[in-house]
Amino acid sequence: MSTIEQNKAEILATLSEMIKEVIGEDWVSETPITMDTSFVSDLEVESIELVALSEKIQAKYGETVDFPSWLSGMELEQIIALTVGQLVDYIAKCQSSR
Amino acid sequence: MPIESIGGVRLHVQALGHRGSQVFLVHGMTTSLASFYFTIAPPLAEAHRVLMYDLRGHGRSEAVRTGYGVRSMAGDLAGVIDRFGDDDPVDVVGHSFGAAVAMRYAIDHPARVRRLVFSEGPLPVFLPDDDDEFPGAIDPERIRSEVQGVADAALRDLPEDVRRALAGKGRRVRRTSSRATVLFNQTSLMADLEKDNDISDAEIASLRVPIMLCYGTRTLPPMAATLTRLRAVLPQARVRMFDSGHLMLNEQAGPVAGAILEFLADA
Repeated sequence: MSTIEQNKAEILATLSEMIKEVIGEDWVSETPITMDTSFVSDLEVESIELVALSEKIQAKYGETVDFPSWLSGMELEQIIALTVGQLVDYIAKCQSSR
Repeated sequence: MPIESIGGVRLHVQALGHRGSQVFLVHGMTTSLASFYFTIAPPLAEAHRVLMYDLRGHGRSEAVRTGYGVRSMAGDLAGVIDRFGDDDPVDVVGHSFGAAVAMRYAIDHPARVRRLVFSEGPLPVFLPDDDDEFPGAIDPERIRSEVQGVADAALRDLPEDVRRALAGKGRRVRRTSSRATVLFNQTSLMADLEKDNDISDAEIASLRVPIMLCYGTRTLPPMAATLTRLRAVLPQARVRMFDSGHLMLNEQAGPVAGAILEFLADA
């Protein structure tokens, strides 16, 4: 695995834990979260849960990762199609351009 | 932050942005501060310190049993501004029910508000059709269908696939409607709003701060009627229309944020 891939795997593992904490329901701790998992259709997250996720992301990765701005720049259709993998890629990109 | 005890009620508060003057955002009924957090708050935060909170009984704020009239809700806003506001007057943006709350606050605290943005607000605030004798005991199934009905009405302008994805009957709708069930059945919201859901023309006309009214061209009838009323009572108000239904913050986040930034820069 390249360093980039390894980094993304770490981010995915971190995000998976955060998402499970935020949703806090049994089924989600038993469901593997992958790069293809969709926030809206698979996880059915509520927007207020995404705010909690945003807090966790900021606490972990700092101000270089601006999750609210990134989401606010998207069309509704894009947000609905949003996958965990896209967020992993975005965080990895923020880190590499730091 | 993020959970603060304000006036004895635990309220969820979030802030974005590090510079510029303060802007306080007040969300609508049965939604949460998330309706701003991922829409207009980030662009506003590029030039302002943005503060938003979940109304009592909403989002992550405490669902206390009483105090859901427009005046009590404006009291919570006063508490949030007292806690986090600078000494200078602040800008307040209210959306939907939150617009009525923000306007009530601006009327009651004229020295604390610099400018007011009234977005997609209904005056009077309207309730689910109430033919029950005891509004405190509405059938949860009916609330579910009301929530679904309002969501469907608000979503009707969106593309079919988007509408399907958002208006699904899964976890999200279940959670939203169970929260609404608590709000409508286990708090005094219905009774409170029957007594306190409007602001008189005379009080509205007393507002001296610069005001901007923002509405969607395809909004719901009660909001459209409110716009007509406010244009007559507040002829000096700036009016901005956006190509959207009631979910204007989601459909037109960029243009709405742009109009607010412009208003705050030159009004």
